[in-house]
Amino acid sequence: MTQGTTNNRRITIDPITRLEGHGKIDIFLDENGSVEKAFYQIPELRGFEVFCLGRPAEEMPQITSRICGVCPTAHHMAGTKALDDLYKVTPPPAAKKIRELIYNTFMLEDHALHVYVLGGPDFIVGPDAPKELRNIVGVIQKVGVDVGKKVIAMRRRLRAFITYAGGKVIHPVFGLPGGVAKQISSDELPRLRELAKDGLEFARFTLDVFKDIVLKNEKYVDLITSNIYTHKTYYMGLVDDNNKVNFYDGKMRVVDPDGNEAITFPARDYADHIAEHVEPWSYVKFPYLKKIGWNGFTDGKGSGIFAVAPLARLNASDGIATPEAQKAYEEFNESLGGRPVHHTLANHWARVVEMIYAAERMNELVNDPDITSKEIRVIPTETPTTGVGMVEAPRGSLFHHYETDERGLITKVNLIVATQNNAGRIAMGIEKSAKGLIKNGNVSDGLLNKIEMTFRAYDPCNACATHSLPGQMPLRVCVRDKHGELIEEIRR
Amino acid sequence: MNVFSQNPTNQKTLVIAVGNDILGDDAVGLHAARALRSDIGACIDILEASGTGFALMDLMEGYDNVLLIDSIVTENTRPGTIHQFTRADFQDTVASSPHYTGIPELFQLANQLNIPFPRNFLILAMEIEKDFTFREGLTEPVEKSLPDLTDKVKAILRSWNLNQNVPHVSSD
Repeated sequence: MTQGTTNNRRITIDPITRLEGHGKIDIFLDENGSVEKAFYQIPELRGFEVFCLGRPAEEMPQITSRICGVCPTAHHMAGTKALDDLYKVTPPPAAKKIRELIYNTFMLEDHALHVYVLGGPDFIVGPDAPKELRNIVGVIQKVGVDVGKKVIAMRRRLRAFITYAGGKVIHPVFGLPGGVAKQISSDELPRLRELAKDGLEFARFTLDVFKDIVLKNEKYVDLITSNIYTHKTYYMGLVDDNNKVNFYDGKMRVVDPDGNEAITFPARDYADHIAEHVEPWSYVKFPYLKKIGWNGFTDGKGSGIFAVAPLARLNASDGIATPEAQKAYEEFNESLGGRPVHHTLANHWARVVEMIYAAERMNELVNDPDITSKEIRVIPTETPTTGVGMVEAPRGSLFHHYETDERGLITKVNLIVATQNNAGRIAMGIEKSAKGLIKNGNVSDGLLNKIEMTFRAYDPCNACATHSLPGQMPLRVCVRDKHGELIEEIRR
Repeated sequence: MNVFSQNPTNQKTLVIAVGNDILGDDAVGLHAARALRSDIGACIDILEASGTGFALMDLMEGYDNVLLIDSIVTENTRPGTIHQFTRADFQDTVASSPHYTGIPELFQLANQLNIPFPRNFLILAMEIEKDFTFREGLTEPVEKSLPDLTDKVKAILRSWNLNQNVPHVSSD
């Protein structure tokens, strides 16, 4: 494997494995051992548009759900909504509700995975804990075997429902232009209601765990609110007609760093509001708000950099439409100095608030009389041209844009995925935390973990291969001296 | 399908292939699984998975023997070379990252929570070129080595005392 050492500070992007979600951080030190620059890089995915050209548009929800093994349901849903738009067809109410039920189940399950397995260990076990304990195994040791069993069992049941309703849990197949492929049987309702009820109980329990372990620990709260993890940027999230958080549908709303509404737009207009900035050191194009412009990796109202993901969604909304989540939303904002909350690590708390919302919404939907309706599809009759769909993926706003010829064969594809939307803020965060934490060239595993925590808070998904050959490392951190020589390398 | 009824030891065996079927050679494990299914699918469970490490937990639970087939980029061997790993090969990386749950963590977790997990576990991974381009189908060296991979899978299954059910049929 290439080590990627450079002598002239030219950054070589060198993905070393084929794991899902792997990345690389390069930290450059000056002559005093302080951080001069830091970069976070991810591998490039090539040829997606070429792959799609000439294929029937109806295949897009299936194809795009294969981009990523982490959030296939989000791609499937954005793709399905893009097909609705492409064929100018409005799904019947039951179809929308079935989609939303599946989607909220997915959000609850995916958020739970992050809270307990991916990001949560930073807090539940602790950022300075020995690295062999900073994972799900350490979480179980901390919270107990019974809780561990509860988490595993709940997640499994949620996935079982997605399999039932969605066709396949890894690559769902339920979405069709104008509706869904399968109705929900009334025989299933008792089981579904039980699942939704237990899901809400589980979300409440998770909020209690978070409060007990994180919020009652002064050190953790200081860490969450510390300046090195704080950026004042714009925030983007999908909201309903009352400006309340919605994962499945609505208008995109952007608020400025003071929390004032800056922009709202429907899916169709996304390209009028989002542009992409290119940097020579990264494959990632950095999205920014066109109206504000690109002014470098800086905070503030004058910088078009924006954030998506749970914290951004709470910031971009005026509240949450379900009662318990609204209460949790208010507590979140009051505890952290009011909306908008600029602390990146508050994403973890926001994620738990969203778990409550997802579970409450599931309960509403399984008790909605429409949910077992047989009216689940409107057959498209219009000639397709252009379609745009957007949803809130667990990791933030996701856009799918397709264009076709009159036969419905793809002529153009553009996707802006959630982690890409966060790229600017993640890059700023990595550099700020590196500068704040590394002094005099002293680098420890605990410090590097605290730098990683910056991007882990966003639950980044840089999935390329949906691969997970065990034992290889999804992250490489390289610390280089002022000549670009590698002086420390840590592989995760 | 789940019950290994012909097996005198009554063990449950799973072949699980991981990969992305629109990412070229990354899908070699999935291709192998499809070839194996027509051959030995009647007596062994064969699954294709494209999820994250943690998702394998649900799939492996309750099986006595699991053989995982995958692709790998070591850049030390020619594409098409088959590597074999045991759990011991990954012990050094146990619990190395809070952002990642791999096979070692899954086994630890299963142990912690008393989840029935495989006693026999092996990985076969075929070397592929480093490439992140979306496409269907395999490159020539990988395609050519596919029968070797399926033969190795069958040889391992036989070594797990499942020979009554795994025919000695070469894929050539």
